Amino acid sequence: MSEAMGTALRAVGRHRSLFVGLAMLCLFLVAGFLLPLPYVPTEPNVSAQLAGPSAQHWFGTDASGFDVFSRTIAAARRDLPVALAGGLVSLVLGVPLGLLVGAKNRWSEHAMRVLDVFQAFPLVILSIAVVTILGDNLGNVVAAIALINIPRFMRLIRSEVLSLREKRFVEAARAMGASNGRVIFRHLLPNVMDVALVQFSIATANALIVIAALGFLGVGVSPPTPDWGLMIQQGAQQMTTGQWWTVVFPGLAILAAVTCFNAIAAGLNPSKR
Amino acid sequence: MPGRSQRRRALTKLILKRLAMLPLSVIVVVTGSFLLIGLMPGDPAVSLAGPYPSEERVAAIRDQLGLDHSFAERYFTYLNHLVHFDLGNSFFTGVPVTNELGRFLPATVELLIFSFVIAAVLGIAIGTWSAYRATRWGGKVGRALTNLLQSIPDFLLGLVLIYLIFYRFHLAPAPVGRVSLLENPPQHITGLFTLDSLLHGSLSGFWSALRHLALPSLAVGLVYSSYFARITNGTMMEALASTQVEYARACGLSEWRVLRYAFLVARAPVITYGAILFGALVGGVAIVETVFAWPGAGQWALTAILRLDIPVIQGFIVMLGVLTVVIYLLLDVVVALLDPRVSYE
Amino acid sequence: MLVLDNLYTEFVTPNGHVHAVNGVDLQVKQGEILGLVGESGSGKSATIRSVLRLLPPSGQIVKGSIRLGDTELTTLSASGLRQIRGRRVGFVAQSPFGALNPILPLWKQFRNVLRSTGERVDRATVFEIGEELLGSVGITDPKRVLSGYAHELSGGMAQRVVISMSLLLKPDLVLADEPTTALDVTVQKQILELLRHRVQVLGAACVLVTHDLGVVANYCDRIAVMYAGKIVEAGTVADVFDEPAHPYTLALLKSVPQLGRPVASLPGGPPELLTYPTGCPFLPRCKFAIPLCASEAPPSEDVSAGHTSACHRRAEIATLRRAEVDT
Repeated sequence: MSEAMGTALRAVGRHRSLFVGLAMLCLFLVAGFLLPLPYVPTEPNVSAQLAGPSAQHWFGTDASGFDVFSRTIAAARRDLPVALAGGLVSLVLGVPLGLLVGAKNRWSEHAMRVLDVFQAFPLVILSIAVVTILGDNLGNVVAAIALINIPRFMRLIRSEVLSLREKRFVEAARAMGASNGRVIFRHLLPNVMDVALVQFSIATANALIVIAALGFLGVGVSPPTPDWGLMIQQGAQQMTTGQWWTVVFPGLAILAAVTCFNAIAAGLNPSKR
Repeated sequence: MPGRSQRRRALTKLILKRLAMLPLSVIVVVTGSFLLIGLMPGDPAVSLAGPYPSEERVAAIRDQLGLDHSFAERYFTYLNHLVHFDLGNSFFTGVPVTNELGRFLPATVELLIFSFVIAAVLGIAIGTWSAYRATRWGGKVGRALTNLLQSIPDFLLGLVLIYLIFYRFHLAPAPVGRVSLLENPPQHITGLFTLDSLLHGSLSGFWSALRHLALPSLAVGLVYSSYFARITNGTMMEALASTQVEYARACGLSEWRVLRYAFLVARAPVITYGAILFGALVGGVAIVETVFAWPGAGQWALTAILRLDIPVIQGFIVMLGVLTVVIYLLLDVVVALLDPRVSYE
Repeated sequence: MLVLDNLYTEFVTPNGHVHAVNGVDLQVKQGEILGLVGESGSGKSATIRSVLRLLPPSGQIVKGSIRLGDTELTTLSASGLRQIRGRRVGFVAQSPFGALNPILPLWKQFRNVLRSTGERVDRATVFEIGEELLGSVGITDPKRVLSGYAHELSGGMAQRVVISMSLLLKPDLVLADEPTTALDVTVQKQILELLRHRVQVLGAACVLVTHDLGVVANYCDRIAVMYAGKIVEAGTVADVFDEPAHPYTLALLKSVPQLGRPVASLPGGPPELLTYPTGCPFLPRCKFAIPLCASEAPPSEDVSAGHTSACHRRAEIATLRRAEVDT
């Protein structure tokens, strides 16, 4: 029993960042959805506007009298799932597309060139454009994130596939009569999954920053929805007058969430020890 | 192996060839953006008409802006104007787009240059240091710092810097733009306030411009230094493990010299990445510009997107396209000059 | 000149400690060329690199001493080490293009080596010294070579440049790590001749690491055979080639391709060095093994004057060898 514990603990120690990241993520999700909040995030207390952190309001209140703590936690309910959804859609669409262009022919090289040009475009602006044009809702935010990240997935998967193809086991599978589809699904796909998962975490981390930027500009979300980016926008003016808590706490939340996904990515990275 | 003057001739040919391709690239960019914008749902005339528009009002705007012409007509008219360097007028302000571009672009360029220098110097230093001290604490600290910097949205960092350095320590001026509210900007020569002040011999103007640049370029520079740090760390670690470095050490060269040798071999990917980053930064500074009330091209484009000011959006995209082609050309030239192995064919 | 005494070097890997060098004793006299022979993985590169402490961060010298003249190298500080490198010990790398910096013109690389002694040399002096040196190694247009870059040269010319650079500061000891492996066969002979000549002119000691017995036969005075991080046999080239006293040496000599004879190869491979076996490391591949070989590691002892072997049956090897030929 204790030996199993010992082995398990050693495994945790080796993959420290992965476990820390996952633990933090669980904490966020649990807190966001299950934690009983001291105040209703959308009901302001008009008599306590811009109050500093105190025993009644752990993170203080903002200019409209909302409790910052409750809103910070509640924002996780929106921002995290959207980021995860964005990463997931990118993964689900990007990997097959990457497998498809995993060939050394002219067609796929042209496709990659087009994607390169696409990637040269400032991506935050692109996502703002997408949401503004297509409509101010969550679905489009997810679409915008997917749009940015799918080319990255494709590029990554493609280079993995190109190098895997050179390896013997693909030759062996072919020699045994496996069809193209079979080769792709049973042999290539499992081997690119570990890289794809790392990219998924990174994509989700970036998605969080994009969501924060969108929220900051008021795109895709409107008051009084609790959203980290939006909260920062509303508190921005107060930074010049000294009420830092309206911006810093949602900011720390963003930082923590992004770090946790980066930690997961680092932990999943197969090239690391 | 071609001689060195032959290489110089080939290089000039390459530059001219690339410059000749510029008009073609612009046309491609314009066509692409026209197609994209044409696909846009939503009617700019409606949003321009304000709340509760009447039928006649919307129709009048549509007529005024030429929105009822066919796609092809609008496309060729645009191209025609483009050849005369006319990018149309803003839907909202009516001012020619080229004028607005000329007004806003220098501000962004100035911010870009300072941010880029901070990002590059800091990032390469951190990346090199963490590669050099790879397994010891120094390397771990370096990498942790890199991760931290990459996880902060730049506008958040900007706000924090405003609070700390302006509000708390009173070291920076208020974030009201490129000059203080009661100040006059230097007379326009290049549009870069720092440069213009120096050219006019005004040291106080130069100092003020610099002070106003400090926080926004720090906000962008710190965050983007993490990208430099990442790639420098990667290439330097590889270079430091190379046989060339081993031989250099075997010859008894000092560690500084060895580091320099490693950097010489490792710098090409860093420079390439830097160029890509520079291109990405043009739009990337947009949000920071809004935080600091910086009258730059980024926030101009942002506002345009948010209110569907199509000529401005189009103009911004064209500008980006031209800028990207120029940057990549410069990149190719620089890389070729720095690496004697590269041929120019 | 160079004395290695009971040297142990390890590499720390995620799978454990790799025991690359296990109790190596080696001596090289001034003016003598020692050939260090072994398969890949035998530890010969690690041994050489331990001398100059050119090990990767995962490698460390865990035991033993390395003496260069009167200087103990294992306890030298980093700055002391830097003084030794280049000035007292020259290193000739395996691949010239892997050694020369591709971005710097060659004269600058020469200048940097000259400057490492603390002396300020200007461009003219560098060219003066460089042209003379390159001329003496058989390069016909030294001025052009010096102003140019490494990739402009052929393999043979580049290796000549490396040899010159390694010998620039006139070291007392030259370590050459398979200096001709990366070169065409036609050029190999010239380079080895050159190396031997320059070493003799300097009166330096030289350790030539190679896996090619032919090279040792033609260019070395003494030979040391390595297996699994140990020296299994050492002696003059004549002694070892004529009267090999270790089964591994025997197998190596037999595996050199010869006309009229089928190629005899030695089955199996060198041991993985994560856990060092208690007995003789060659046991799994040895034809002459006896029970003692499994329980006790054979020490390196004299077979005759100046000829050592690490085999329990060292005295009988000659007889065993003849018996084998007859069967």
